[in-house]
Amino acid sequence: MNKKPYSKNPLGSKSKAGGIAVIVLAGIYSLVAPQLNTRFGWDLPAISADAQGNVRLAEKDSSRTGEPSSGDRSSTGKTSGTYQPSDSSKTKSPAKSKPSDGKEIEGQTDDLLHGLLKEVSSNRYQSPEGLLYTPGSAEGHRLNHLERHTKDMPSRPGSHGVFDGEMAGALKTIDRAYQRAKKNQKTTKKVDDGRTIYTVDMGGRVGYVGGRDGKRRRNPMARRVRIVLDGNRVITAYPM
Amino acid sequence: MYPLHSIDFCPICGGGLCGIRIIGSLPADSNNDDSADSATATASATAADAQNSSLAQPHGLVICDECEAIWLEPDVSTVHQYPDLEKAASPVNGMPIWGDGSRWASMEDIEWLGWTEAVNPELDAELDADSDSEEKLV
Repeated sequence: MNKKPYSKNPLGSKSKAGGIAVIVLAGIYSLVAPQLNTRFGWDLPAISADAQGNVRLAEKDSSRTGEPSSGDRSSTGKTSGTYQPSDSSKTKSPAKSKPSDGKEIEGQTDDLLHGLLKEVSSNRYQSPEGLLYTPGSAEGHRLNHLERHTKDMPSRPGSHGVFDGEMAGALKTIDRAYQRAKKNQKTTKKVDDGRTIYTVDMGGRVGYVGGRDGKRRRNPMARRVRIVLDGNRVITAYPM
Repeated sequence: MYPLHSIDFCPICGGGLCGIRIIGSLPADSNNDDSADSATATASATAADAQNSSLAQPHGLVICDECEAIWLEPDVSTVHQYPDLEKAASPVNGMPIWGDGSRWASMEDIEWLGWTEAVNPELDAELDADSDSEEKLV
């Protein structure tokens, strides 16, 4: 009895060709993906092989970069004296937190509010640069007050600075500004009865000028940040 | 949540509005009821109540809506002060400046305070603005 060789099975040759095509495509993908990630800031998953040698896309670790998801940008609760963001604003991530003593704790798992703030005690949040966001202000919590500066108030008299990037973007920009202010980089500083007012030139766009004046001037871009502090506690901060 | 009527931009932080805020209820607020009710309320007031009411006298403050600097009179060239960070209270009688018993002053409130002359009409909130009109009144 003649047995047809496996290689002559038409189905087998199609499967082989398909397999080669997959390998070629995977090879092209693995070469191109890092370049696309670099060029466009994407986060395409890498290709990896499992224990059985099967090629598959590696799972994306969205928290790797500390970047918040779109859910981080949802509105916040406004209970008096408390800050109650939606659950999605807290990211469980292997964080690189940097407490006020400046030592980095790598791999520490924390719940970070807006991908940045660590709750150091009830309703008190600390940024990587050591800024504290605590209860207070007309809005009940400094974070709720800060949230005013993530959207325009076109009818507000005068100017109203609006940060780019909503809450996560605002918090990062404020931290960068504070970092510069501490090093006295392009910063003016004024101290008044325990309050410190920094005006920091960020060297590029951080938001825009809104409010009635901003509207009149067609909402010019803002490249400076003003931060009002009491010690390391944030009273307010806005772009200008 | 910004002032209905302001006297100037904040000379401290530069970005805030120095708005007029009224702490406590105006006598007119309680006189809106029928006079019979008012009479009953007055009759039941004790000496202790009278003492407390002097502390609860409505009064005006000028407050920056950004940095919370406070002026006791409608003139930002006078001495300012800052409230407690977490429990901001009136320097006059200790009542919360952001609580239920206070509000950004309306023109009627300002007339009652006798501060009308200090108001800069160019800094008035637009009452018919489509957005955040509800917030403005808080």
